[in-house]
Amino acid sequence: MKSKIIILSFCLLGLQLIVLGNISAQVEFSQELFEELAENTNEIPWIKIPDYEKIVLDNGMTVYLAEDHEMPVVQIFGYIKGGISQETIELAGISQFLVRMMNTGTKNYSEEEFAYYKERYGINFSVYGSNDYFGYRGNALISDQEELIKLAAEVLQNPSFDTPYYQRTKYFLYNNYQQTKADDDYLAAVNFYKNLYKDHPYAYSSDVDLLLSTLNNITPASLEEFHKQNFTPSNLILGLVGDIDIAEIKKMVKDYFADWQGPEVVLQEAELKPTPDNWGKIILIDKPDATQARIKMGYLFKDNSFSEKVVFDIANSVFGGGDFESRLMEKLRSEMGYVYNIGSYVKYNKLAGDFIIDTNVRPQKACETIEMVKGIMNSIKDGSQAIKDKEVYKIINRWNAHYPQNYRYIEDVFISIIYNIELMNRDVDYINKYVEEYNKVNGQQAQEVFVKYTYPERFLTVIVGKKEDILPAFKEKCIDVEVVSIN
Amino acid sequence: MRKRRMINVFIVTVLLLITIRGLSLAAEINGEIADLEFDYTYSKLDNGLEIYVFEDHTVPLVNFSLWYKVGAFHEKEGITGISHLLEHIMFLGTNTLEKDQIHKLVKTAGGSNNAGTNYEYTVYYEEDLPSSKLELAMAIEADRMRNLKIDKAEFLREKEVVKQERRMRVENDFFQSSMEEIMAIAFKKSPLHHQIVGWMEDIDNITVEQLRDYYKMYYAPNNAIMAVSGDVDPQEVLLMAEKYYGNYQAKEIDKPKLITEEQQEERVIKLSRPTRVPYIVMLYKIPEGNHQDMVAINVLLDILVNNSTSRVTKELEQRKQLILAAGARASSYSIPGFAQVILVPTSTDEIESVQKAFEDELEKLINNGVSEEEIEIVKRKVLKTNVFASRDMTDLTNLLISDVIKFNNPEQYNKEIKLLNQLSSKDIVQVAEKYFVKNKRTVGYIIPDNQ
Repeated sequence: MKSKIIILSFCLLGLQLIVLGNISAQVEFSQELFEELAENTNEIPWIKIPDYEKIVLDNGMTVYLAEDHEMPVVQIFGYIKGGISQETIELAGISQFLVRMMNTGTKNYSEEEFAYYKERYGINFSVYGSNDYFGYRGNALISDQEELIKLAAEVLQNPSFDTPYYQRTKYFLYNNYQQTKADDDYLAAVNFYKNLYKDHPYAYSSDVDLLLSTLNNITPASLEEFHKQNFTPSNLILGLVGDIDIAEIKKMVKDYFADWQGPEVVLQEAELKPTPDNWGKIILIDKPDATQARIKMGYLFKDNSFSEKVVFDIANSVFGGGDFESRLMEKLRSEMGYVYNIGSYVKYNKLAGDFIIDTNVRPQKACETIEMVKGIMNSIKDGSQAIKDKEVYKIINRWNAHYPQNYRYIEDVFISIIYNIELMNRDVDYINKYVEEYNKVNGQQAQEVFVKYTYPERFLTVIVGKKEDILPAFKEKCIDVEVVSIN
Repeated sequence: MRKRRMINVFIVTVLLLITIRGLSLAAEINGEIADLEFDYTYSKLDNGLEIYVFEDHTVPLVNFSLWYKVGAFHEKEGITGISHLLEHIMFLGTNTLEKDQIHKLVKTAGGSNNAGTNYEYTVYYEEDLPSSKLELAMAIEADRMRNLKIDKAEFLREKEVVKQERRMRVENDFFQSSMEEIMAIAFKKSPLHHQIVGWMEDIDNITVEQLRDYYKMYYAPNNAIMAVSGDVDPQEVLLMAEKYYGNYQAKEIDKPKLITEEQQEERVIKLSRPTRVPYIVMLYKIPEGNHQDMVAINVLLDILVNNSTSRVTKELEQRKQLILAAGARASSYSIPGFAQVILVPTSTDEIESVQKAFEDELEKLINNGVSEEEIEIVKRKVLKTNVFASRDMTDLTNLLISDVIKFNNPEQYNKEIKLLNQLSSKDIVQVAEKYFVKNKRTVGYIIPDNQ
């Protein structure tokens, strides 16, 4: 125990007091003092790109390896391109079914053996699904690196679908989907996204009624087929980082993955059309037991390749993405006391993204809150409350201080590099280019981009709450609301 | 890089066996989990303000936090939620600072800030500040320790924010609102009777005068702990603390005595809620968090419920297919608390079978003990968790300070590690027999309201 209880030498302290003056005199707090203490221009950060090795196995599998000897651990992660976007409407929800099965057992390990193996070796490993890719992550102590790689190979190559837990998984998912109808957050999300993305696969994972109707279509055979179509070595990226020896781990990777063969994948890209019939629509999900109004409002936005992403990110921070200091928070929490939290967020996908505003308010204030959100957006757009250089500078200054935190560890940088290269078609040095770009943004640019890419008239709004408490305010203003009952 | 979550609403948050704690990389010595090497500097001002400094020079940043030893446990009847309400008011300005200016100042300097209220403490923190900006955090917290401005109109407005927070976190969440009722039945005469956010009626009734009195009573240097971690020099921290807090006078702190109660018989509550699946929530009375039985209780919960290889997972979920999910956790307070077991039956018709099957598993464990392998699995999980947590100075700081506040023992974790290393099947059986009994249990049944 190195803990040092310092019993300060009073002589030493006394000497310091004399040297430094009367430091225990009461400080006179003043605006000047605080402004002076806060005054700070943070350095523009630069993130070191770690050394890594990239190899492509004969079967087409792409592997990235990096050494990081800070801790006696190894981390594995990677991606399989496609994800939920590869689902068909007849088999909507198959991605979720698939990953749950893959995380339960394999051809060579029963459910119990699988759980025991992971816990015996202290391995975390799981597969997950996303709109445009499947991902997987895991870790282990370095002493168990081979067990980790062996398990990852087994899960990715040999999942088992015709198993005792197939029916149980189906039943679990059935109840899981039903349960979303009891949860405000989910109710808001599912009704928002299914109306926003309509019949596109991006909507499937949110369309609970669709998921319930297709559950019986998902058979062990269809799961097997869907897995084969997507989880194939030429479509798989694998990353390993940690206290490893690259030469040694490369051999392990080859031992466990080189014999895996699979077909070439042709990824489908279902067309995503704008849905003007949704613009301005307000849907109220009537939840008689609700004591608040859960609001989600937004519209279709740009895809991953959006060229003005960086400037928009800054502009959105001013509007609603910048927590306590955002315009939305200042008005609706600090001034009005209506909300505990409100934020605006952008999510980008391969084909299109979404721009959303999320909040909860007391039911009687739902209408006013929605109007205020639009009002704040319009006040920026019409220039009456234009984004100022000072606001942008503060955000940039803060980001410069915080940005290195996101890349504090080698694995953070390494994961980001692979994500950017393999899934986003960006440069290896994108994380530093992003810094360069946001540091060039000024108030005028942020204002212009915000004006260009915000559309208050396009808001699709979903409210979850008790209609008797929410509707009167809308009726008073003659605003149409479509009321939907929970089935 | 945000991922769109796939729907999974049954996830029951389960705490790890022992809270994540830092660890030197010599994590294992002779097959045993090693002691932590907490590396900090401790000092105390004449007025009682305690100061912990954790040096970490890997990045030029500093985290500052000021912990007041007052929380929801110390609230008298009728003013529940006052600690949390005060936490909100603390951001609304001082004699010098304007409303919300604290956020602006910290952001200008490049950091972030917030606060949190717990049962045992309220903590204010400024994080990820450039290390040259430590003095800003010192000044902000020193100013609002003494000079808070409590304006009535602002107080009433902020109350609405807090009430909305309560709606969002408790009332509008069928599980949390159920837990609030179950806890109130289980802890009739304990400070655990109410949630941290307080009862709505009490929030409504708290007056400006009550809040001012509460602030004056508890926000004093001798009721606070300062924690600084990051790229700092302990000597400089101490000098700065003297400069900003040295003149403040200690106060007579009059905290209510925390009462607890013995439970003699099982308590049961049935709640009808807008859920599609039923839940069984069992709260077993257990001792305070630093009691020597706590390590065995936590290991028992992992072996019985939490692990993928747990008895409940294997028997109730996989073999008998009676439940959809299960989870368990043990509280860790300075007063006796609870072990919470949550079971999600596949249907309302199965509630009785599920409860019986759970009790059968508990009985089997008591009769046959647990295997060495089951204990080893838990130890391995703790070992690995610690290795990963070893580089997170914030977690380490929070762990140590909360142990000091709750148990007055910065070495609490190492005490637990020693107990874990020596743990046997017999210890686990003993705690199962002692605490996991019906007359120390409260059972809450959350039933779908359409059934």
